Amino acid sequence: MNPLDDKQVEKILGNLPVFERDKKAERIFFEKLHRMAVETKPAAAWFFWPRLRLAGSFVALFILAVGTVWAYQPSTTRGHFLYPWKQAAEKVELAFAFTSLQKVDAHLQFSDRRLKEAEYIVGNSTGNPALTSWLLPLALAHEEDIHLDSPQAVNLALTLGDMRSEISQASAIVEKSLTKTADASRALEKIELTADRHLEALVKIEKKAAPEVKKIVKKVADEVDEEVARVVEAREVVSEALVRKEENVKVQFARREEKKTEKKVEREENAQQEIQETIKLFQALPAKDKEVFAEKIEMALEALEAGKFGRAEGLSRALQNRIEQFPEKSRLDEQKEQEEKEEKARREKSFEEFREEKNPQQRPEPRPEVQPGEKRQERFKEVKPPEEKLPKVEGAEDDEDEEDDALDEDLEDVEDFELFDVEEVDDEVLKEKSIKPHPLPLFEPKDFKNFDDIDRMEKFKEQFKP
Amino acid sequence: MPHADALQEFTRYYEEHKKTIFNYLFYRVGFNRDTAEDLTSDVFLKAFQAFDSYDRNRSFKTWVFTIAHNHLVNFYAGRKNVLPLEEAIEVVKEIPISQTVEEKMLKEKILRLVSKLPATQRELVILRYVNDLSHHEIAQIVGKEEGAVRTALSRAVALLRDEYNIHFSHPNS
Repeated sequence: MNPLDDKQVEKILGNLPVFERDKKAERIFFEKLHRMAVETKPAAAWFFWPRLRLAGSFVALFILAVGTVWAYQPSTTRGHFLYPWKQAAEKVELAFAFTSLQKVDAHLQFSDRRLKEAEYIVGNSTGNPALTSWLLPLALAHEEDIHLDSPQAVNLALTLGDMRSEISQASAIVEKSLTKTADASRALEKIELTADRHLEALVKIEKKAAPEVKKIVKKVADEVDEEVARVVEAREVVSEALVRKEENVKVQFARREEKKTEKKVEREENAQQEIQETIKLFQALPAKDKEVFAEKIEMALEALEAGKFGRAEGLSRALQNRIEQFPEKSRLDEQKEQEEKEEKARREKSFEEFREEKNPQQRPEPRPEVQPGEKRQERFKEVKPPEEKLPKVEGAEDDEDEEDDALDEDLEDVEDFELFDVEEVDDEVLKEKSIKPHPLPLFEPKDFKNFDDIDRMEKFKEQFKP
Repeated sequence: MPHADALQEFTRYYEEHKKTIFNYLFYRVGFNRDTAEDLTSDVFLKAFQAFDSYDRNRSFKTWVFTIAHNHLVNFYAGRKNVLPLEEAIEVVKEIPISQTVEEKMLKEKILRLVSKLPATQRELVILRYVNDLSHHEIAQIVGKEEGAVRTALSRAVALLRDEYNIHFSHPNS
């Protein structure tokens, strides 16, 4: 062999073999490493665990907030891995809705979310294939007339079903829990607005949807329309209660099962039938009572023309109920009027008896009926006081003439005032004389100038005593 | 750093440098595989225990080699560093067969000569030529100046050359 120089030695050294570790030895190493990792604990620090827990809670809150925002996206639909998170977050939302009104709001919000998910499904042609494997038999078992053969169809059917269910739950809360008229009115208004909005959106979705899912959308739209009809009908009852200023009301949604027929009726046809029945009842009403319902019937017809069949149906049913109850109300009003008349007659009778008791001799004889144009003097001839001079009073001879004149003046005045019931004064007579009837019996002491006159008048009265 | 993340990071470092450390130890313990395996595992376990104090600005390679070097020193206390000839021959048998017999024989001889170098020079030679470390890295590992490392390596190479020429070469072959 030739001798080597430094470079050759370095070259040989650089090409020395390199070896791999044994696999078994490596496995043993990893076992030791893992054991060491488990046994090793973080170094103790000042308030380490409390700080760790606090930091952990902030991190957990942050993850929860971010995760919830992400989960609430419309793209998070059934089958998405974040969908259970979304459902859990909604349960928490509902738990924090303490009043019935808040619960209604929560359910309506959930139904809005389901609608957005449905719009996303239709627009993106998505559908989790995993859904199909276990949901498809379930879906087919329920949907007899709609063939669900794609993940999108299954997803859409379930999502729209959830949407409708949320609206129904909101209505159920109103029926069971809301007794205050104002609260019920507010809640029903919100439900109606939400359902109307959903109906409009479903119409748009149906236009964009693939043929196989159009049927699903149409079916759900019909169901939502029925819900609108029930809500509108209940609202009319609550509105009446508000007008009557009733504090509490019992909301009861109509159960229409008894009217179901084997043949399915289109929504429009159903609404038209209800309106026709309402109009029949309306036409049977007396003319004077029609004004009450005319406006509402116009509203129902306008809703029908606008395509809002649920609203038209609901208004019609509410009107039918009111019209059927209306004769009963009329009878009650008549009865009330009769009672008021009797009460009035009783009061008049009491007054007459009172007057009889007070001044029985002053009671005038029944007056003859007034003939048109007849002068008052002719009519009341019989009650005119005698024209002969008054009997002389002892001790009054000196002033007799003056007193007579004064008395004559008084008697002239008396002619203008008669002892009769105020209400029997003829209007024509009053107009002729421009006299207001005196409400009180005449010859009250205060009407005279002095006490002497009073005495004289008292004596004069005695002449007419029986 | 959370414990799980530290483990994951350390595992990545292990995969990257396990071969280098193993060969360093393998060459230093006279090609005793079992001993080398045990030592390699010990070195990495020690490194994991001290991983919290590892300065990320420093090269992991030099850091773990330092641990290996120190561990080896402790291991050598009370032991003789002898390369049994039989094991050296066994090592030679692991050389890829694409190489010629002459090359194999040449390497075998060099290996024998390396094993006879003084411990310090032997370590430098292995770190430089087997583990492919730079003079600077070697200086950090052994705790010496870079210039001293260069000088020592030159001397080691010269010694190997002289020993080879004396014992194995024939001027007229």
